[in-house]
Amino acid sequence: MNFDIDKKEFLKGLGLIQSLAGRKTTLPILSHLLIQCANGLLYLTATDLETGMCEKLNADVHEEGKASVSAKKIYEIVRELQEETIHVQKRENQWITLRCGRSIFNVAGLDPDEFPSLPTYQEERFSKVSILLLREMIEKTVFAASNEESRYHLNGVFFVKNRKGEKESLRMVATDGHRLSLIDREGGMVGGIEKGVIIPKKGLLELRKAISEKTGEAEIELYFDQTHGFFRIGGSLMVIRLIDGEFPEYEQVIPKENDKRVVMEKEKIYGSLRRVSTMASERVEGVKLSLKTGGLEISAYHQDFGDAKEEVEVVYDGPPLDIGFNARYLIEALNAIGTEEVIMELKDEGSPGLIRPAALTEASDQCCIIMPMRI
Amino acid sequence: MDRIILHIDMDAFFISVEQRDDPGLRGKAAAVCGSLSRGVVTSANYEARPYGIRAGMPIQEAKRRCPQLILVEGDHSKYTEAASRIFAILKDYTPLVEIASIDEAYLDITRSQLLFKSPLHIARSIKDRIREKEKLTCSIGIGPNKLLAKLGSRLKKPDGLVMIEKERVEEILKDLPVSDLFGIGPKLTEGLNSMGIFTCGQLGRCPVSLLNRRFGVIGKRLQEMGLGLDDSPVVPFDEEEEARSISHSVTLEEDSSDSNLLRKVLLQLSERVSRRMRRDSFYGRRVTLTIRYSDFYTFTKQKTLSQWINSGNEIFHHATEIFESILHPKPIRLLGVGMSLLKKDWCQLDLFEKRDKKDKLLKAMDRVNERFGDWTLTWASLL
Repeated sequence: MNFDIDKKEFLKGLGLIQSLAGRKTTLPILSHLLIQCANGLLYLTATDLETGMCEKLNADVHEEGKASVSAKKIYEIVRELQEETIHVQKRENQWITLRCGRSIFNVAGLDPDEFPSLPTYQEERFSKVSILLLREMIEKTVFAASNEESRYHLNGVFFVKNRKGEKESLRMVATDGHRLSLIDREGGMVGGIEKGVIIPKKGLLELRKAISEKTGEAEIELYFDQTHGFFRIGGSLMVIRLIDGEFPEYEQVIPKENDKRVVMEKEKIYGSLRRVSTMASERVEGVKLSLKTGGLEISAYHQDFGDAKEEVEVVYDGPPLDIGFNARYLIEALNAIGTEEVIMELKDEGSPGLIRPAALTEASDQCCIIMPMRI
Repeated sequence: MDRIILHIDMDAFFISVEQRDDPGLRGKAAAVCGSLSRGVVTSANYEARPYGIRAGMPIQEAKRRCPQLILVEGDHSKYTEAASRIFAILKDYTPLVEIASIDEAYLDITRSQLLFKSPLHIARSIKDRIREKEKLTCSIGIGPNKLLAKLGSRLKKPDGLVMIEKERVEEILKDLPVSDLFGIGPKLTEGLNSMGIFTCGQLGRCPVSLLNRRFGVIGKRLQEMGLGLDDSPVVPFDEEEEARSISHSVTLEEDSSDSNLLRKVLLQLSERVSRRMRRDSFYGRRVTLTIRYSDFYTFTKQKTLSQWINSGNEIFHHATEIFESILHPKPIRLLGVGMSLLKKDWCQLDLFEKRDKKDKLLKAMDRVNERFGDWTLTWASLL
């Protein structure tokens, strides 16, 4: 293996994938990158066995071949180099040498044949979706997924094809058992999600990061098989192992009889919640919403520090209702809603509340469902 | 005011229940065992004891010593039912009833005398009622504290009644072997004997410093035991540190070192603690594990957390962690799980759990059990 590469190009590739390497220390090779020269191009690969990424870079390849070196070390080296062109060459016993200007680095490596190969994809199954659309869907759901390891099947976002009458849409749902976030968006179809797949939160965050760094691209290619999701954008391929589990029957918990409707301005209620919740107990962050005609009072009580309350103007003409919520769940739900006006629909103090944007189109639906706290 | 404590100990409880229900067993050597194919004797009747048959003996060994021995497979639910009826009788005399295990309890009757005449009168009345209602006998010891009350109940078994007055303590303990005291097992006895201490009288005269050097911090306690002193209170079961802590404990059907079984028990206990915490919207920050070994050596170990928890899963997780941090020298007799450093807080409801239904179910169960006695309704997994 022997190639010349532009420093900026090399650093961009390394920056994208190096965070995947070294997460797991069970296998030494996982802290390494695979560097491959083939067909006149350079490929960098990293994996933590759950998420894998392969980055295609432009390079001047003199001799094909492959090597495997520490991801962290090579990233550190390349970041500090001053000259434009870096020359990389493989030596005996898995060593590689980097030359750049007057600097020479000899880096010890591992046998590249030990590097776990990424699952292979089928070219014809890829279909295209807008990057903006995918990114919006991820951002508006992923926060609601659980981080609790014991709720493994909730540690991801459920991605499924949804049909409403004649119209088909893409749907993402995430829940941690206390709250749920759902979004439907029209825009193309994706292969392999007829029955739905659970994409792990960690992998999705990695994907979002990759998307946000690929500023030049407008579309992403993707599809799912039984065990993996494949994503291709520009020159990178990302493979995410899916969560093997049963996503809960989320449709049953979407409330349909919530007759108490509150219309509110997002910014106002958001600010009030943030202020009042400073006085909520640290563990549960509970705030009380007291609704009466024309107004909403948000209050919190902390057994050591004191209490707080604030009146917020809302549109409401139903009977009075006191209901407790985790303030963080409300704040995160409001964050996920794009419109200025937000609608909250409630039933009683023991049933789930529903928050959604005031303006909705037929197939582009969105809602957050939050289970209250017993005061 | 001097305390008057009563210790009541059912005579060969399990096998006596079996004999009561099956006349064919009466007058013959018989024993209850965990399972017929393998396992140990859990309770031997007085006809079997001359053969040296004791609780804890493997059944092959018991059969060898006494070939005509009749073995009965134990039916634990039957014993717990009988026990809860007996404990209900005891609560007629004082609210201060501490249930020590399935077949024994302590009563603090210091203040019950105005109502019920003398301590001996109370003891006789209890014995009569248990004989009449349950057709079972028990032994009762009366003393100025729990240690001596327990000693009293052991002195004249079966069907005994022994009162140890304050004035007679010294005389009774003078020549009593140390191993007769509750809490001094074979290991401690061996250690004491090697120091030339054989009787309680000798133990009481031994300087604390010497005992401390040999046994560590329990030296002082040992000397007090030799003198017949014990100021531990009778703690009624249902208000055991109520509100300040929530705990559940269980005496195993037989002593066990089987870590799978013990983990299962820990899970059940954690679930029960969690259920009570959730019912009253409590969160806790300290997990306590109580272990009593086959020699009755009991200790507790705690773990204080930085987070407030109340789910059964989390409690179980920490209880197991404590459990696994200990090298267990002997089979375990009793396990207890508790939560303390409690605070009341709002309770986050679950989106997917049909809590209403579960709440109603638990409440219905409680009502049935209150009316018809504990264990009338229970979980199938506990049978």
